[in-house]
Amino acid sequence: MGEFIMPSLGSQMIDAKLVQWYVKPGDTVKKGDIIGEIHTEKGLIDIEALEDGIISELRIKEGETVPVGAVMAVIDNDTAKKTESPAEISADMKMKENGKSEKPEPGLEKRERPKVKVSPLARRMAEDLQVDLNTITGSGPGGTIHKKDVEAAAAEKQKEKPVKEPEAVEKAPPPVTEREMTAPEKEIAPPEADSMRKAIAAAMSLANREIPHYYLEKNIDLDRALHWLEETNKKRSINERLLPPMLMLKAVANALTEIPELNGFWKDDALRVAEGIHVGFTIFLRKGGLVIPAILNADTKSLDEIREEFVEMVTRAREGHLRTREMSSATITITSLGERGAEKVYGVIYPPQVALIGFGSITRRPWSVNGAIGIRPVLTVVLAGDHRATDGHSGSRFLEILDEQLQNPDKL
Amino acid sequence: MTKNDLEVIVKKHLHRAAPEADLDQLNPDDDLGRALDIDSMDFYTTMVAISEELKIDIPEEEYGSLRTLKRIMAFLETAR
Repeated sequence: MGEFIMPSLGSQMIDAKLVQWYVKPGDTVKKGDIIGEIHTEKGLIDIEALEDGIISELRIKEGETVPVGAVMAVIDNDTAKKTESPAEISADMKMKENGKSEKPEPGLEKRERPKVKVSPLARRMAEDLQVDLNTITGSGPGGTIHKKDVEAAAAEKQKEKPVKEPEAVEKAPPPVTEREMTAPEKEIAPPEADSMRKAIAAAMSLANREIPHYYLEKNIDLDRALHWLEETNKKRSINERLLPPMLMLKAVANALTEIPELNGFWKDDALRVAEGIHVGFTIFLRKGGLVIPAILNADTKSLDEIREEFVEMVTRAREGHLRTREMSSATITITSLGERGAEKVYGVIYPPQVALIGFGSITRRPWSVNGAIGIRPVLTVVLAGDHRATDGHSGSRFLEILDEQLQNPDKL
Repeated sequence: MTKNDLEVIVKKHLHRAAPEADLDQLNPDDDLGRALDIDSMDFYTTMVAISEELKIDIPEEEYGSLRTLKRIMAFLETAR
């Protein structure tokens, strides 16, 4: 008997709403089957069964919001492998059990903090009101912090604020320009993108606060790669067409096999190199925000396999059908601004990952070709590295190998 | 299928890629990527969808030039 629990897609995620079940009690499911759909800060996500079995009970009703870790369903599995049941349920827990102990989500440490017990509602409220949970004594059993404790602490905090501010306003109203500058602050986030914006804000603030970034950039001549693509695509129908981002993703995965220290997580003051190379790539959503699904084990997949998954994930991302495993497994992230616009992007590492690769737009630039000046399609790649985990030397070698990979597209 | 029918199908798929864009305001010579703010992947999936619905393959030689509504329409009319 295994329990299927609400998965975590990031430490900022407190709960999620079950939108619908795709299964009913008595249904047989296989590992990887989509069994339901949840609404999270990262949009609509499909949840996958993590073991084979028969659904014996659905504990959560459609429309219900439950915290991460809550039992959503019970799966009856004939196999007597009972020992692994909780670990198999959540992708993040599974990784820990495997000894990888690293998880591509921001601020994992926070979630694991054992000292204070907090109700999910109180945790969310504390975040909204910017109250430090460590400063609160909970009134619940075993010192559990509840909503009212957070409210009390927030009220206390408000009292402590220096009264200087309102006084100043009364005495001398700020000049119009200043008021105009502060006014829009309250109106910026559209409501539907609000929770995603908050999740991005939390992860990126954590990254900028804690990760000492270093940046290295390299211009790569894509003449060969693009010619190879053109020739290859001439032999293919449109629905098998290869696009530059797919080549770049595969080249990154291959280069990481030689520089594994960029592929992993910074956790407990140490670099944990990940076993698999799961390349996350940003997909910008039209309604605002972005999602970063990952192509798992990209180094072992062929370009065509990557092509297929890439197209499928982009399509599903638009419709809100990314899957929990894709959303919680990335070991490194690629951000690409597409074919137009900025020539380089200095990205912010997605913690606890230790590197991020930014691809700018491909532009035609003067380039040294056989001792003369030629015009070539050039891509600027910017590597953001976590200086706690690696030094510029590793990063520089990575960019060199990436260049080599892209000069030999037929071998990708 | 008339030219108008073709355009309806093309616009239906462009609308899927850029739901908030007002396609009636689209100039036939506008670069679609820029006018509708669609990236190369969205553009690609849109072209695949058009190709599948009309059962017309879009060869590599043509793909790169299909940047505007006018060019797409001209290609589809000759290819159908």
